[in-house]
Amino acid sequence: MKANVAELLYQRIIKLSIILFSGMCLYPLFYILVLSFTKEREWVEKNGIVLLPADPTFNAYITIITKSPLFFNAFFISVLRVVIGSTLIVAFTLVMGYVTSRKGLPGKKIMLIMVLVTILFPGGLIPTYLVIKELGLMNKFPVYFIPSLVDGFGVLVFKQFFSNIPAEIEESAQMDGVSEFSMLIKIIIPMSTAVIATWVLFTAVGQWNSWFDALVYIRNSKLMPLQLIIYNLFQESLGFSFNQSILNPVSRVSSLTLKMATTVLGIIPILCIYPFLQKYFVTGVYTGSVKG
Amino acid sequence: MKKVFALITVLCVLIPTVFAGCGSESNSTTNNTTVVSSSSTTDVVATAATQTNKFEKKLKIEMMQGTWVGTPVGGADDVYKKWLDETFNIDFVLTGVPNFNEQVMVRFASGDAPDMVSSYDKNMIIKLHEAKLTIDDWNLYKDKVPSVFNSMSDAQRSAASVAGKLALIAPASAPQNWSFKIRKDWLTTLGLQMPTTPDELLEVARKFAKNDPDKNGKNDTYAFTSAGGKNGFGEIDNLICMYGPRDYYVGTDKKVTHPIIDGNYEKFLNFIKIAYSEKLIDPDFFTVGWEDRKPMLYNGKFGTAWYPGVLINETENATGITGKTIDWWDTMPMPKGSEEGGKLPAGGLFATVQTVSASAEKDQERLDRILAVIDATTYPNEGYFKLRWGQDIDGFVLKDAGDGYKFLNATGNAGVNKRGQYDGANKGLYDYGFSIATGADLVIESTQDTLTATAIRQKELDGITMKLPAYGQEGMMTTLDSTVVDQLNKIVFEFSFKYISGKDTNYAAFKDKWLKAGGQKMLDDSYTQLKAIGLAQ
Repeated sequence: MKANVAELLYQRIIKLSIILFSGMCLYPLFYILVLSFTKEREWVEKNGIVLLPADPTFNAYITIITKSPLFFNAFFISVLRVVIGSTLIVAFTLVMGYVTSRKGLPGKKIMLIMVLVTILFPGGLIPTYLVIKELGLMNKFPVYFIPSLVDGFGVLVFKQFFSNIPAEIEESAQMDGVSEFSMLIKIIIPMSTAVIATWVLFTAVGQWNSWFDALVYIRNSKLMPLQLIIYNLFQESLGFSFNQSILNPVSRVSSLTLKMATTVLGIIPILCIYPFLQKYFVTGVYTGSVKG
Repeated sequence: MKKVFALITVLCVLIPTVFAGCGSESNSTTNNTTVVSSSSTTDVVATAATQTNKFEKKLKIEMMQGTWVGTPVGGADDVYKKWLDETFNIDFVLTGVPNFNEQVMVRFASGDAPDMVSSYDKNMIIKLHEAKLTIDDWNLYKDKVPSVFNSMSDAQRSAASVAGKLALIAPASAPQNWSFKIRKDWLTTLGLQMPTTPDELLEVARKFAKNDPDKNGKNDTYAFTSAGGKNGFGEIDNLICMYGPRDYYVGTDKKVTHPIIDGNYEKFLNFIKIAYSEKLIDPDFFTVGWEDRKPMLYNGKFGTAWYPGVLINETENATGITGKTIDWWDTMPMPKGSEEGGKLPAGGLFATVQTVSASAEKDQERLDRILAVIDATTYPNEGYFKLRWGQDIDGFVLKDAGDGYKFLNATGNAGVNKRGQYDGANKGLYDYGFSIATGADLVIESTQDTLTATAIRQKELDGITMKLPAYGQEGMMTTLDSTVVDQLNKIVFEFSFKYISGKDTNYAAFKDKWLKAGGQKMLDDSYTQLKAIGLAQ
């Protein structure tokens, strides 16, 4: 009986802790959502702490949707880089992972070391910039995915996963005359949906959230992704000197609601993808991590 | 199946290649289909035609700079670029980056330097100069940019010089319009006089914090506020000026000293210690940022604030333009805590600085074009008002406001002005004014076509501040090792907070530590530099 009470208490504390922790994680998101519907005057009157707007406004969303071609262009670029970038990166990474998982492949160790080196020793900003420039990728859309077509960490994950597929399955397929490519398409990939879905999600989220590559390599406003626009919106009034703050138009005219609404619209698409792929998450990440 | 494999392999290789070809090297700023909405389009075009004759070859010129707004420019609304392109026969590319220092280093280190650079950070531009990546000595181009040399003060030129060479140029420094503002209505409500000494200020502060000056029945007001942003005390540091200058300065003995050495910093800390222990100052002052602090400021919870007169405008806009807050604030002369105290800190020398890359300098035709742009858009030339305020080229009209001031309706109107502060305006266009803006133009931004009571009050407060005595600018005329300065700042921040919270009261040990950590070197360096320009002996 005592044990049951202790267990019950333990469970309740655990649940309470999880609820509190979840609340802490969700509050910033909730705050952004609430502010996107709050008039600036109410924000000021409540000293910047608004739980629910007394007089909600959709003005910020209407402004973005009806008067901001920049937003839609950036949104389109972000969607495009997610679709094209994720597809190509996962395809190339998967193929590299499959190749390096083959037994008896000549030069396999060297290939793996080359992959590992890219994880342990990143090129650095300036050398990478020079490579991008020399490749003629500056200010071009493919700069978003060509430099990361083969993801080193992804290769290791795929390799490990494929290595764990029982050799008997492949042997029986080979005995039936299946080629390497057919083996990959018809046997290996269907057996690897969990890891592929997980990697698609990782890559898609990474592509959606990326802004630094655009900041460095893109100067054409029509090729800027949404996250860079949001980053700029939030950077605008930081770091200015006192002399500058009087000259800075933005520091005098808050557009907080607009910023928050832009952020909400930037978050929604990736939130929509999560529920569809989340079920593969745990299986995908852990399958292949234990050998035996 | 082999065919399918081959097809997919070929596609994997071809798709990126095809996309690589689809991108465009040219910036969207090359779009020249803009329709100028200004009434004086004809004049602009006529001027452009004349100028174009002088500049036969069209050049692409890139300006890389920090940003105010940061949203991309160069679209169909960009009448500012159109004016620059047509007037100087260039393809002007404005690259605004929020993290300027990091970006500019990448560009220069990669051999892909922009033609012009402009930043808030003078030290960054000096670093580029020291690495011989920018114009070596602007004095050589005095004849090509006479307006710049006329507008820069001697103090600015001294502060911008390295080993006798002018490393950078800057817009004219603005008159000092920052001062402590105090709640005039609270003084009246509580029957108080304007404080003139630190003790009187503390007495007023106690009443502001304890006597419910806003009469809302709650104990929710503070006498002082500051936006430390986790980096220090913030602008409340200016209260050091009650006792003396707040930076390195030349004393009466013509030697260089500093408030930490002369004991004024200790007096200031003692003042803040009282304010902190008696809860007269917003307890978040050490952590809150400039923007985060605004709701409470606009909501009337603070009795004093370090701000220019535009505080009136900001507060009115944030509270619904009711006219009720116009008479909230008054300018507070700096209380006098010692014989040499009671002056405002020196006005800033630089809002932004700019220079030209060494690679652009080597190309004479390019350099001439860049210098022409710079000189034409320097205050008070006509080009300044076009680029900074959109006069003529973006439908904005500057009107006389008396006493040398001008005003314009900065809100703008859809269909008339491309930039402005209305919903849907392309605010990014403000960034064209980043490198040239100066408060010396005395332009007041109004929200209406007529001079509002808000703008008049703002002008009054700034006018009062500009007439108040201020300390000399010698502390800003030196170029000190930024790494050592950062280290010293950390030591000061750490000790200051411990001191006011009573955790460390050994000021002598702090002073000793500060000197050993580089303070003495900074004093020596300042002395050497100020002696070289005849300010110290």
